[in-house]
Amino acid sequence: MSGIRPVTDADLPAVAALYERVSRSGTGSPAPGLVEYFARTLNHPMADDELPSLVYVNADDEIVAFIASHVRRGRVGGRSLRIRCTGQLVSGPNAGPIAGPALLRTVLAGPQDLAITDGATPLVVDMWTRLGGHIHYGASTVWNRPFRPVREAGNRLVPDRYRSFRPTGRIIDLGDRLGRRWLGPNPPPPNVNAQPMTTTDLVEATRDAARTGRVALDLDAPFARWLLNEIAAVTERGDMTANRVLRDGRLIGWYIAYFKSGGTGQVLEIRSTSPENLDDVLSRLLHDAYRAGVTALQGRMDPWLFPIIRRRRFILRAGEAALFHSNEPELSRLIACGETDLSRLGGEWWMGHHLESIPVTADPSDTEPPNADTAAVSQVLPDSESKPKRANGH
Amino acid sequence: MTPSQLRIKNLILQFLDQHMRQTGTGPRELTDDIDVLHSGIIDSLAFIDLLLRVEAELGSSLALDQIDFERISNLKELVEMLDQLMVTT
Repeated sequence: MSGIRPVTDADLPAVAALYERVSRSGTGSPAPGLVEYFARTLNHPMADDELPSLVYVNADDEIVAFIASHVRRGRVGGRSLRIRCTGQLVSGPNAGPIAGPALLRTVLAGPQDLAITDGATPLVVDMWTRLGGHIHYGASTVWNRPFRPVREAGNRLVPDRYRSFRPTGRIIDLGDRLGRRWLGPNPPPPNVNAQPMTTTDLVEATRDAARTGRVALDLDAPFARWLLNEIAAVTERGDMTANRVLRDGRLIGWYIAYFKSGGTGQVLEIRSTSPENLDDVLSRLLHDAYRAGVTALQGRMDPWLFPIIRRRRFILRAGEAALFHSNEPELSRLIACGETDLSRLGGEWWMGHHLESIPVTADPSDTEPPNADTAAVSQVLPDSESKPKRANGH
Repeated sequence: MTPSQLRIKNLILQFLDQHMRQTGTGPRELTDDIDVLHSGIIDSLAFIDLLLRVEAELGSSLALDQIDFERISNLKELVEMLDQLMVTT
């Protein structure tokens, strides 16, 4: 008899094969490492048997559709929250129009307090909203801060797989150098420095920065270590850089981002210990990203960023949709009103199942994540690139 | 066909008629033999709309996690399946 059941480890080769066929190459043979990547991303320290990933099987127990459930823990006030971040949703050609909706509806009807996702395609958005979910409009908006506009435009116009056709050469360099006179970020104040962030730092900083009454991610050391290791493994997005930002030696905030020299940098989280400190934390992030050679820095419009993004006049555009669903009206209200500290860190946007190179990592449970050394990265740039003659950008 | 099944069938026919008009895929004769799910009449989103319509009209919810899609090859079987999955709320 066909129907829905929780995924097992034994299903993962078939899940990976289905994903390869539907979302990657179109062949039924999973890319090397894809099965292991599914195993690593589903079986993490916060996995919850009551919030499983699901498969839809036919009468021969053949998997025809799959939905990933990436479990997170959260909190609001003094209460713990079970958060289910839905991820990869694939439906094979034989599944008809039933399997996808049936899987999603089963997930949304689960015992979690809150369901979220943050890389939703238009079809997934339509399915979620029909089934009672909502768009988190702020988090579905992307801010962009260009540094090297000519190269960034080339990156945007020519997709990664045709990167060899991107314009290069002296004209591009000249254009970017001229642009840098206006777009090079101001350096942060001299007493504002960055230091690599360990998983312990992240757990403590997240806990200490928790704001009363907001929906926030709850991190413990094993999960934080797993999370940063897996984020770092997605090297196609760039080098993961997790830094604490200090003023006169005291923590004022942190950021976690991908820096990709010659490509767009992506921010997963930028936080400050108080709203007054955010400007210096952002200045430090922009400066580090610029020195790492990114053409532009991009992130999502998390609620606490709105005042500073507006003041700095970053470019805004609609991005991949962030969605939420809860059977508790108060939880939905908090998220809809921006009373949340959730960032891309708690979602699945950063994952690389669909990317050309499958993320590979060492045993993430025992090792500290590889953190890009921004000081070392900045040395890659020639002097003329690292010191704008006149920098009046932010 | 039981009264409950007849009601579900009428709801499905009404929905399909409206859906085909709106999407320009009709008119098409809707018989008990038509394969609603695999003939391209409805897609995933329309299937959700159909389920929500049936649930709202009948005041019940459908236990979709138990749906056996391989047993649905025509309208009659779809009606029987939805009737089986009804959970009175």
